[in-house]
Parts: sequence; C-alpha cells; structure tokens
Amino acid sequence: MSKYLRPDDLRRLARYDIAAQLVVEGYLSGHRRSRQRGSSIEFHDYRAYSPGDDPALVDWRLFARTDRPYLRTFELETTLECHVLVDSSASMGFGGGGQETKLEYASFFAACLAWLVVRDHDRVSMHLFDEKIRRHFAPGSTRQHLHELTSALEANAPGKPTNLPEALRRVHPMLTRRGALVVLSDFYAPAEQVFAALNPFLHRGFRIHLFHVLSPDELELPDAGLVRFEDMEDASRVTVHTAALRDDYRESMRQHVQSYRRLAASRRVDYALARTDGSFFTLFDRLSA
Amino acid sequence: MNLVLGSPQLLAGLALVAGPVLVHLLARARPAVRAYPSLQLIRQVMRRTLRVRRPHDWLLLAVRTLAIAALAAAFIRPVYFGATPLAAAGEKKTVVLVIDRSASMAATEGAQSRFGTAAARAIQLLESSGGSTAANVVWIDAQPAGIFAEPGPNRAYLVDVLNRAAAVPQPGAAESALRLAFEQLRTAEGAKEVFVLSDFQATAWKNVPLTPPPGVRLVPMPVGASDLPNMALTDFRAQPAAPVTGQPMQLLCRVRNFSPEPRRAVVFFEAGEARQQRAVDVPAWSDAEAAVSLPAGAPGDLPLRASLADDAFPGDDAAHSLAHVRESVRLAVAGASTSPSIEPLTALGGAIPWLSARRIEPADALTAAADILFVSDWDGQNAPAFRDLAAKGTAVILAPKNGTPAVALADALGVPATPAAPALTAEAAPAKPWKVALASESHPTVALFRTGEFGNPFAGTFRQRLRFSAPPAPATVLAGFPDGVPGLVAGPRLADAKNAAPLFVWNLPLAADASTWTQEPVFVAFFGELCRTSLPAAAGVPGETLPGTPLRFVPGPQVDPHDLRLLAADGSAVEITPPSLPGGPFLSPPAVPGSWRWMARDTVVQHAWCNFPDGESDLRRLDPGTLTGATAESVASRAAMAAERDGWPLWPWLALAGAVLLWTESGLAAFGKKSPVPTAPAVS
Repeated sequence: MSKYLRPDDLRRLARYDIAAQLVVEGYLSGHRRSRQRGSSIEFHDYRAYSPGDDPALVDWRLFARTDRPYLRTFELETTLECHVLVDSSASMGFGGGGQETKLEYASFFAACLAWLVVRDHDRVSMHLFDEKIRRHFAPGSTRQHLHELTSALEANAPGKPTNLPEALRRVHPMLTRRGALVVLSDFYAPAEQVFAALNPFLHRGFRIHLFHVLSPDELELPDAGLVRFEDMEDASRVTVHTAALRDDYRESMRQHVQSYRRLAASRRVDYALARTDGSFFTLFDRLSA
Repeated sequence: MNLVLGSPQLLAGLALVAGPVLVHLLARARPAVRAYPSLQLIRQVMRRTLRVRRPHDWLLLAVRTLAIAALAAAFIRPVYFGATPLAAAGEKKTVVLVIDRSASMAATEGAQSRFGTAAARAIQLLESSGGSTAANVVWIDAQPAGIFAEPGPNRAYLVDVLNRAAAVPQPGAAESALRLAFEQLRTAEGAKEVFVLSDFQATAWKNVPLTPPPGVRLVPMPVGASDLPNMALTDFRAQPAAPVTGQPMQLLCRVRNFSPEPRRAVVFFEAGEARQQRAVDVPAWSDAEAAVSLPAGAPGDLPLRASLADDAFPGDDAAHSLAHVRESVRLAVAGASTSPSIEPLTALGGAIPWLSARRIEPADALTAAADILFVSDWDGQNAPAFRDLAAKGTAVILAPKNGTPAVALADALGVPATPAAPALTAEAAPAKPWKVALASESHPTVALFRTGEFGNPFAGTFRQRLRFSAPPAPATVLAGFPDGVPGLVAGPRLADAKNAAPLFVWNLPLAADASTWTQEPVFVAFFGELCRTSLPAAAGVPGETLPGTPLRFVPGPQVDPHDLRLLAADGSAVEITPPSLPGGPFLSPPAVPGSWRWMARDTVVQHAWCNFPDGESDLRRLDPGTLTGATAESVASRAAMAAERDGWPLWPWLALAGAVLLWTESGLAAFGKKSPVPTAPAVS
C-alpha cells in the first residue's frame, strides 16, 4: 500500500463520486456512453476538419477525392481523463509549525484523486513540475499505472524554483485529450501570468481545477519577532520584524488569493484555497458537490 | 567665534559618530534564520511600509549620532572665548583693580564680608594674570588712591596688601577712583584692563558712568548676592545743644529702616553715666525719630552716644554727639550804668539760679561773651550786626529809645521796612496806665503762659512806652498794648541756621517809674522762660569730624604740645602726627566712627567724634543689568570670570547634551516598539 493511500482514506474515498465535476463535454472517453462523436471502432459520420483536431483521424482517401480534409467520427465510449499537475518546487517543501509540507498535502490529494479515477476505470495522468516538467506519466487506468503514480509521488521531493506558467506551457502539448486539469500548487506566480498560460487549456475545453495549497504560516505570518527569512527557492534573505509587517502581509496575501479567485471566476475555472492545516477531503467535498 | 580645543589629539574620536550609524544599520544583525517558501510578498510589504516608518528611524539615527558626537566632542574639551576675550595669561597686559572698600563693603553675607569676597577675587585675578602683567590696586574710599603710583610687576606685594586690608567706614568716591585707574593706564603697554570689584551700592553708583576710554577693557564685577536689610542711626543731636546744668535736655536721633519690612528698633541713649532706651517702630524703607529726655548734668562737655542692637551691618548702629553743659546762661545787659533797665535785669541773676547777669558797656555789645544780650536804649545803630549776632547763636533783645528810626527796627528784625514810617516816639500814658496782654500763644517764648495757668506774663501797669507800628510778618508781636502798639516783638528765626537764636524788640520799660511789671512775681518767671527758650536748639558744638578725614587739634597757648595725647573711647592712645608747620594742627589717622578725647596731661581739652557716613547705610545695589561696560558678572561665579580670561569650557555642556540625547534615544526606541500596528482581516 502506498504511503499516500491510507486504508482509512480509501474507505472514506469510497463514498465520493467526482465524475460529474471532472467530466468534460466534447472529448469524452470512458465507460460512459455518449452520443458525442469521437474516435472508436464504430464509424459514425464524417465532419469537416477543424484546427486542433487529430490529423490521424483525417480520412486521406476522401481528401484525395475531394481535396478537402474530413474526419471520421466514431461513436465513443466516454472515458474520463484527469490530468493532475503537482507543483514540486522548493517552496512546496514548506510545512510551517511542524505540520506536513505542502508537497505532502498535495501528494496525498493527488494519490487519492488518482485512486478515485482509476477506481472508476477512468484515466489519470500526472505531471510533477518545478521550473520544468520533472516527471510525466501518460494517462492510464490500470492499477499498475496507479502504483507507478503513487511510487513517483513517494519518491518526489521539493526541487528547484517554481515556474508554473512555463510548466503549463510545456504540459499543454502533452495532453492529447481534453479532460479535467487539476493543478496543485502554491501559486506564487502572478495570477495574470498563470491564467495566460491556462488559456490554451480553456480554449481546448479542459475543465480546470486550481487548488491553492498554502500553510497557515504563509497565510498569517506568525509573530516570531526579529527574523531573517530565507527564500526556499532562491536562498535570498531578508530580515524583518514580523510584528511590524504582519498585518500588512496578511492583507497582501489576501489580495493575492483574491486575484486568483477573481480571475478564476471570470474564466469559469474552479478555484479553492487548500490550507494544509485542514483535511484534503474538503477538496473532494468540493469536487463531489 | 573663538574656540580652542583642549585635547585636539582626541579629535579622531569624532569618528565614533559613525558608530550609531553602523549600529543602526546592523541593529537587526544575526536574528534567527527561518526558511520561507517565498519572500515575494514580504518584500512587497517591506517596500510599502518602510516608507511610512522611515521618519521614525531617521529621527532615531539622528539622535544617536548627535549623542555620540556630543560625548566625543566633550573629550576633546573645546573652550569658547567669546567675541572679545580678555588677554590670556601669557599676553602682555596692564591691569588695574579698582576695589571698593567703602563702608557698605563691610556688610557681611554668609561667611565673610563683601570686601573679603572682593579681596579674594582680586587676589585670584592677580595670581592668574600671568608673568607679563603689570598690575595695581586703586581703592574706592573717601580719598581714592592706588597702592602704587602706577602699575608694576610686584603683584606679590599687592596680594599681601589685599590679605591685610579691610573695608573702611568712609563713603566711596567711585568716579574719582575710576578716573585715577584710567589715568594709570594712559601710558601702559599691552592689553589694558580695569576690573571694578564693588557692591555697586545704588546710592553711590547710580550716576557714575562705566565708560572706559578707547583701548581699555572694563569689567564690572558685582560683589554680594543680595540687597541686605539694614537699620541705621543718623542725625543724633541734643536739644538744646548747650543746656544749662540741670536743664532738661532732649536727645534725639533718626532711625532709618533699609529693609522691605517694618521693624521695631530699641535705641539706647547714653549721656555720661545716664542711660535710657526707647523703642520705636519704623516702617519699611522709611525712618522714625527716637527721643529721650535727660537732665543736663554738671557743667562741661558731655559725650553723648546712641546705639542699636547690632544687625548684619553694625557700622552704622551707633552715633555720637556732644552736649556742652553750661553752668549758667550768661545775660549781658548793655547800657549806661544809669540806665533804669540795668538794675531789674542784673537782679535777675540772683533770682534765677542758672542765670548770671552783668552790665557791659554799650560799645562792647557786639563782642561780649554772652548767651543773651540785652541792649538798653538802643539807638538803631548796627542793626545788621545784631541780626548776625542772633544768627550765630546769641539771643538779642533790643530795647529802642525815643527817636530810634523805624527802619532800623525793621532791619534788625529782618522784615520789610515802611519807608515813610516815623521814628519811635516816647509817650506817657494819658490818665490810666496801660496794661499789656499776651498777643501770641504759639511762640515758644510765651507758650508756657498760653493756658493762663501761670497768669499774665505781662501783669502790672505801664506808664511809658514807645509808639511805633507793629512790624509786618514774619515778625511776631508777642505782647501788645490795648491800642495795638507792640510791647514785645520777636523776629523770625532763621530756618537755615541750626544755631540761630531769636532777636526781640523790647518796648516794655523796666524802670520803676515807668511800670510796675518788674514788681510782679511773674516777671521773673517770664524772663526765665524767655532766656530758656532763646538758647539755640540745635547742636552747635564743634568737634564732629567726617569719616576718612583726620582729627585735628590746634593747641592754644595754655596747652603744652608735648603733653598732648589723643585717646579713644576705650582709653587707648591713638597715634597723632605733629604739625608740619608752627601753629599747625595735630593730626590723627583718618577718622572712623567713634569718639575721642584730646588730652593735655589729665585734662580733656577737646572732644572729637565721627559718625558713620549717611549714604553708606542703604545697602541696596544697582541692578547688575543696568551696569554698562563689557561684562557684568558675579564675583561668586569664578567660572564666569575664568571664562573671560580662560574661556568657557564646553565639555560639561557637551556631556550633558550627550546624556540628554541618550535618554531621548531610549525613549524613541521604546516608543517605536510600542507603536500600535493597524490590524488586517484574516485570509480565508
């Protein structure tokens, strides 16, 4: 059993059905039958080619005859594809106050989410990133695939500095099918840059869920007197008297979170603040709502 | 600005001012290091809030820097000399110390007198003046003089004189002393400085300019910290100054209160062996008169003394005078032996014990030794001479005769004459004799008879008289005939002559066939009263000497100069200087308040006394702010004087400033910590 798949957690997870939140209209694949056109063994019809369509589906014989590209559509079995991006940068290694680190928190959630998806015979992919994609797992639905994912999570450690927009840009071409995109990060990048990087996904019809993982200490800036803080990503230091900054810091953090929330609301992106001092099951509550 | 650094080698210490800057910058060094996911937001907040807090930090930095700068500057001991400093100790200079040793400088404040304080300060000035200094001391007293004729290098001798000197009970001629000091600097070399050490008594200094000539630096140095309260005795006298033995004599003196509160004083009077005391209440800054009545004792000079209980300034708490007690009043009746006035008047000498009466020739009237001169059958000659005789203390009674010009009468009385007034004319009573009545009740001569208790002083009848009109005021008709003809006229007493005696015009015939007055008992009483009240009231006894001037005595032919001695009141002998020329006076040292006796063997040939100078009793000083000149400084402040010559040491002030700034810094730092931080809502 994986570190991140605890029996108690799995028993609790059994009650959750998150498919409704993760199902994406358009390219649906999986055991949910759908009349939506897609690729399968049963030919359904031809349709005109649109930019972004898979060129492999182009009927070249018809193209030779008509000199126009057309796709063969098939009646597909709907299969959920869930793509999980886990921020594994240095900042995710922060725990604060002896609590589990943000990466552990995210890993627990990612593992359980993967288990749920595989349980329903849907496909899940996982991408571990910092300033670039460190590890990439193509979508799969087998237990072996789940094991590989959880093993990768267990072996994962906070790495280099974050570059979430860049990681999203690199992940985008890897995701051949649209589905649900779940991003687990501390989102220290400016919200505008991140959402600019998410635009291609939105354009392709991904259903995006952003989970902003932060520790209570990051949110509140505990009163520790005169402290020299060292940035976990670039090792820079700054000396502050926390009491003098605390209230202003909290306000700045609130505004930072609000900026993500505002942009998410405007783009129909699901956004939630995930405090590491709380249970990750609240996120599943949100997904199954 | 003249600034000298006492320890310039420590100037590098000013680099310590960099200390607070470094401390300030490193104030947050080595705190605990904590990992944090991202400092992005923290830096944002710091950039925004430090702009707000920076003013407080800058103020703290400034206070710390100034504190260190002040403390570092204190170590280099800067000294400030002012715009025009005095010549330094090593500079060539000529210094004259004008020191007030007048009577007021004997006033005691604290442990020593004002003069003692001034002398100590003068010694300090001399000892710190440096080897290139020529110095002298000029005394402010009644006769200002310098110890040397001109400034010289022998400062040790000046110090020795100052150590032995004391204030003298004399007034101070301040302006003369300053002139002398400036004169001594006229040809001096180097810097020229005059220091005036005085209490700057208001009564002595208020009109004295303190403007030195060009090139001379004048430094007034007030001595004494306060206006001392004082009580003094002045104007001590006997009335009458020359009483007759047994005659009541009144001793009077004025008690002056130089203090802001009313005070009660007890004055002790001594007249020979007799003693009395009198308490008197004196209002603030005012005076009151104390008086006692004592009988005049045996004939001769009677030394008198009045005293107060000692106060802080005892020099003026005693006064001296002298009364000359006469054996009798001398009545000289000038007239021919056949004059009918002679016998009744000379008979008075037998009726009045203290009166001796004798006849003198009319030609001797102006030269006779007499207390009262009666000129019978006066023809009007020498009227001004008789008036002058009265002004000098001999009472004159002029009994004119028939044909005496009325102008002469007016001249003798000192009143305006009526040009056309006829001469005095003798007349007899027509049928009934005249009666003469009292015409004035206020004149001292007849005041005793005012109430009528002793009857009419002019009882009896008069068959003869001289007719003339009553003289105008200020002459006073004391007795008059029923028809207005004056019987006895008193001339005005000279107000400005303390020793003046009255002059009368007598129109009351004394011959037995002319009146019955001399047969009346009241005649003796009236004439006795006339003689008593005609004696001079004020002291006219010679012998008083001004303080600061020597006592003088010129021995007469009956005194052997070799036997002459001068004794003080306690019997001690005083050194006297024989005359430099034959017939000149023997001199004593300058007199101080007290009494003395010139003795020829065992006989007192002359009394002498000296009283405290009046103007020296008011110990109030001029407001130092009104003193003109370079700098008005208290002698008590040695630092102030040292600053003029040696500069003001600034290190105590710098150290104090540094301490204050450090205290301020701690307060600011604490304030910065306690500043309330605005709260912000929690993030959810």
